[in-house]
Amino acid sequence: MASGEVKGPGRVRVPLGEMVVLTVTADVADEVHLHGYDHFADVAPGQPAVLRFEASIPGVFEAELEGSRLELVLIEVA
Amino acid sequence: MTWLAHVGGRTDLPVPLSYFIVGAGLAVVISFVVLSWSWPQPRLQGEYRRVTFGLRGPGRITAVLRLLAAVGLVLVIANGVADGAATTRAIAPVLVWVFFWLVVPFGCVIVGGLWRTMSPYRQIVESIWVNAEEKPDWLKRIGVWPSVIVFGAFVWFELVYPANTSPRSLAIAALVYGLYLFVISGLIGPQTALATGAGFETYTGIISRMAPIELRGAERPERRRFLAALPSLPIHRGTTAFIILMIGSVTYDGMSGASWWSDLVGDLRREMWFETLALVLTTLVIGGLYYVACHSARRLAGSAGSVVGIANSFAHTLVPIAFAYAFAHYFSFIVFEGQELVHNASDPFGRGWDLFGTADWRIVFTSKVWLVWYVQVAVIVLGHIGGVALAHDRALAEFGSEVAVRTQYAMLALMVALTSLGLFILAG
Repeated sequence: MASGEVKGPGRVRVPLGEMVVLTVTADVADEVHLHGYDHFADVAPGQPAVLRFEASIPGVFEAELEGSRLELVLIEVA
Repeated sequence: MTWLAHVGGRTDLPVPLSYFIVGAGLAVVISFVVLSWSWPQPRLQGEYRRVTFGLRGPGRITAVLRLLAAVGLVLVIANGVADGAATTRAIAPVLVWVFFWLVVPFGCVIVGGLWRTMSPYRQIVESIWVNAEEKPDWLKRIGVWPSVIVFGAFVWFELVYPANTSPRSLAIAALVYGLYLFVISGLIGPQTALATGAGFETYTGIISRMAPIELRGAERPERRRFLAALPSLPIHRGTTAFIILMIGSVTYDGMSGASWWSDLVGDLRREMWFETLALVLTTLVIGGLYYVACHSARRLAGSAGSVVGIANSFAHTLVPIAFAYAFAHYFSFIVFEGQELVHNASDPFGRGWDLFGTADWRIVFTSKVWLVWYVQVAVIVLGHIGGVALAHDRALAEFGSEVAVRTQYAMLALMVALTSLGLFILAG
């Protein structure tokens, strides 16, 4: 994420039960929120947020930059 | 589905292609079965059989329902007043978007008149405007168009407005709706105002017509056959548009969450003007399809009636389909996000309270994702059966048994199309 623009794959498919590592870099200080799984991680310029989780719940989940309400990526667990 | 992400954040996986094909195939087969085995005389028209049944203290049930609704409304407004940093943890989004907007209307399919019975708005305007003069002419003149506008505004709030889970916007919406009902009740009388302009009473009233039970306030509740009250749904000006809007809004919501939609429109899907336009156009296309079907039915029957007349006459047959669309779409959301109430009840303002010791409750998700798909496809196909049967019966009454089957091709084509569209959107 840079200057309010999100760069990334948009939507990612993950097999159920896999370990997932989501890395987010940003040019602002904010918080990354993976909805549904309810995982949070802080992000700041030069300090990427890294979320590690097991894809244990099927569905489509949004990772969001909480403060600026920006959708970062949709994770489809199936 | 912008708001979903903020209330909860899980949306359903697309229904696999095989479920879609089986569902759509069933819809086609069932339609032809109805055509060939169809009954020759209308059975569902006119007066339906109803009996009242004993329920110890209908007054007590009414009182409990009213208390729950009043507590909910007070919490939503209190959340808005206290709107601070912890807004995402407040109870208002769950109360409004899960319970008021989905659970209560869907509950009306079993217990008719649920919202009408519990609505705090009705209690308030009825008790304040006791002596206001009723001007029922307004219902004849403008029908339920004000309700269509209220419902449309709320749909827009849900699907397009970005701050749709902010407790402040929710409280403002709740108060504006109350103020609006209060003012028009004073002008045209509370009963007329509620009939013509209370969007949520119109919405839940239409769904209630499907229910096998009807709550009637202090009187004993009524029992009837499932769907029996639907053919006598009162059709005012705007009622048909209301039902089309019910289908159009869910169609748009499903479509806008599909991956093919984001591939197609790209970043436009985050623009409010574009979302608004797409919502309106989707509804107009659904309405257009319906009027084309009515037009064809009219020509096939060689009927002298107007297209609008036929559209009004068959509008109730779309209700099971509209309900099925909405239920299939929101069913898992209710099951999962509804659990947030357990957590929120202990900490309604997101302040770290723990009133009932349930503040740590986390949503229990299921990994049996096929269960959701089964329910979705089953409900859509059942809605289709209801619609086809009601349309056949109305055609017999409207056009006579000789031509009824012929006119059915138009309606059946429409219903198969709508059912396939519903399934297609779930498969998006």
